[in-house]
Amino acid sequence: MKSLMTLLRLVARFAAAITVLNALAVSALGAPPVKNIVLVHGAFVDGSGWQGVYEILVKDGYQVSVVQHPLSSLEDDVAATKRALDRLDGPCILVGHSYGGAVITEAGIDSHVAALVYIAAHAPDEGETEAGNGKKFPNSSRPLVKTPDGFVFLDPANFPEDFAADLPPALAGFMAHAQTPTAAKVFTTPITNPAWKLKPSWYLVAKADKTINPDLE
Amino acid sequence: MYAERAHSHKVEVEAASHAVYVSHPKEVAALIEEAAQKVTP
Repeated sequence: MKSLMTLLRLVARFAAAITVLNALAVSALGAPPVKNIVLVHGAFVDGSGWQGVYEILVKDGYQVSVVQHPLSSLEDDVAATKRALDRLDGPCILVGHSYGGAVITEAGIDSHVAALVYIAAHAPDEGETEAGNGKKFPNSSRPLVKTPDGFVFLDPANFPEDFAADLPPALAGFMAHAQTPTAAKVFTTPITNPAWKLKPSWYLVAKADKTINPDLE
Repeated sequence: MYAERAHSHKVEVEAASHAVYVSHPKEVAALIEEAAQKVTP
């Protein structure tokens, strides 16, 4: 009887050890990697500019969504981004270019978002605006053209040099004439809930950027 | 300023314009993939 109890104790210890080993193995492997990427364009453009990035990410096995948001208000653009996030079946990396950085800063609170990636983008703090931060770090672009109904865009003659100096002239010229006029108020709408304070972020600085001062990036 | 303030993992692309997401897709995709691989969801 005594030897049976000893045997049972040994079995129990062995089982406990296996449980610990299993837990260690799970923590070493970690959670499954993030497979979803959501790309958010900036002002004056649409999502098609992400095509080169999209193709690389898809080739490497990622599920990529490109948000086409209307540039009519920060609220509308955040809503369009959340519409894309709500369709995901798991965590994502949320990426923003330029004004898209303000959009992901606000939309990034969403529970699907594991991390933020800023590409030459604005990352305002609570209460800050793009326009306000742009005054502290002036850019080297020429003034925007304003429409009577409150929208702005780049003079197509200035677009290649001010926005896209490292693109082939034909492509820069096409983008210049295919701009989405953007509601001026998106640049003066304060951020309310900056996700970069809560979630990890990555940032790419464009060192010859004339639209956002590289020192602001 | 933004990258330092947010404690972001930062990379710089020399001579890149504001249209860097079009002109440098390899560098942009590499940074996105780094985030996807390093973050704990």
